Amino acid sequence: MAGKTVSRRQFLKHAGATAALLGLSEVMIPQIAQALEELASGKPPVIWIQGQNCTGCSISLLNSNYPMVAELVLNDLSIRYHPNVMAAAGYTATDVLDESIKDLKGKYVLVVEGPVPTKEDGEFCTFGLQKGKTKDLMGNKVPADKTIHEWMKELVPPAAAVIAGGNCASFGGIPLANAGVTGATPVSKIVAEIDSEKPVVNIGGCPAHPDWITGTVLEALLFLKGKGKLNLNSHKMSRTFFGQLIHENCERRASFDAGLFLEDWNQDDPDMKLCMFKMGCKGPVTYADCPVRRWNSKVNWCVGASAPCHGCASPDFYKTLSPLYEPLPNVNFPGITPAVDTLGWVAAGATAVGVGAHYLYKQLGHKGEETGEGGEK
Amino acid sequence: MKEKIRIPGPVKSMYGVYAGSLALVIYSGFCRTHPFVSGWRYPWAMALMNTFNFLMVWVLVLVSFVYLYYALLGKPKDSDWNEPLGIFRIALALLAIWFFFLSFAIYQPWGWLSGLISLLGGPAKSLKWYELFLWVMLLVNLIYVYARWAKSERFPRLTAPKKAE
Repeated sequence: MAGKTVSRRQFLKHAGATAALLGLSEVMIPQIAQALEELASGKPPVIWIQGQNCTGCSISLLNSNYPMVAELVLNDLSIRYHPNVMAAAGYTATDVLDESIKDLKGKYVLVVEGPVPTKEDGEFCTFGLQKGKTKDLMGNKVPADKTIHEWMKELVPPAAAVIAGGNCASFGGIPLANAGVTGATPVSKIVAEIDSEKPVVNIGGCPAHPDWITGTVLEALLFLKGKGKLNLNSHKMSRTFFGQLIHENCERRASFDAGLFLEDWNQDDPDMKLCMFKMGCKGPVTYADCPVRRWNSKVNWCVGASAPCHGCASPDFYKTLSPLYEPLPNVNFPGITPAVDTLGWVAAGATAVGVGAHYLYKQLGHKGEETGEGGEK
Repeated sequence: MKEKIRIPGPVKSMYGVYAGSLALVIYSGFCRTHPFVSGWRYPWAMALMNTFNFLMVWVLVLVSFVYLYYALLGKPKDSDWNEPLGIFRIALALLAIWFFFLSFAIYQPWGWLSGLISLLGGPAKSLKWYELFLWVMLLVNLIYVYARWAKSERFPRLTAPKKAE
């Protein structure tokens, strides 16, 4: 770090920002600083490969502003292979993968963006070439394309951990939805087939927030260095970023509670305050810190820009949460769909009436009884 | 004249803790589901209420377990405990245990009770069920308080009638 003219103060500030990013306490700063120093000096390698993706998550990572992506790629993480940001191409690029498999056993973190197609021998997604040759349609001997499934079989066993970057890689996302013609398979399933003991961390989002990616990679690296623990939910997603319900922190929550809903996109809503639940907002079922973290350097987020949450961080996205602009079903009772509060107040009223009626009946009866008793006495 | 109701001290204490924690659970539960009405609207305040609610639900369920043990298995043979509505209180304890599981599932929908969340129709519907059961807890306990009063020697007054000399 000193070689890059980074002062101790700047370095500790960087460690502090990393702690804030990970949602950790300030007391963790010295440990993070130490871990980052070790990481920077040792150049912990990250290999980023892409399956059936749209490159959206990579573009999202490139929007990272603190730390800047160049700093992240070159200083903090040493991303050895990334199809979009590496300068190398062809064999020079894929040789890095082969070298990493041989020389960095148990040291690198493998990030996979997009799910892995399995139908048709996985030929829907290939990069690089296989060893040996095959015949093309003209009968010429040419090197065969190498599928991402083949790459995974080689890259997963030596990896220290695998991170599925984005909803598609984590849960299948859009490629898995509906027909799923390519046999898109979530990364965790492929990894489980190859090595069931290998740690896998999923990152939701379409795309994933740059903080979620860098934060999760750093969390994984800190975990591998023995400096922290992976606090994951049952979907193997970090609770740091996916521990809060969007609905709970939504800036339009007040409208939801007050029953003020946007019913039509042409409705007059100059203050942009009406709840978009009826227009298909999936905030009530999605766990992510979007309302707090916000996007594009904390400028805004979907609901802030008057677009309903599509639930892209949810494992149910896209198949179960679509159509995107249809509301979530409410609690359905036979024949009626009352709001819970209305039902509660009706039940409270019925209880009050019942208790009151019983009291009056008993009191009147008691008075009669008292009179009778008094007469006898 | 109704028979004098005798309640052992531990039972009185248990019901006191139960009623206190229940009141706080219901208050914080409604704050949780109506943050903007309750005023606990800011994320830190909501987080505080959620944690407090969870803590109180633990108190509630532990007291309920202790009550069930005391009422069903651990009751001393020579006890003069003749309080009416014992079955109602057992039902209240069982309801509190169910409510604890529901609360736990709501707090950690992808945790070990994720099956319950699926059974209730996902996190959003489960929140609605939670809200509904807040009402159920409130009203059933109010009914119990009234019924217990109706069975007591005080009823229909608030104070016990003077003993005839």
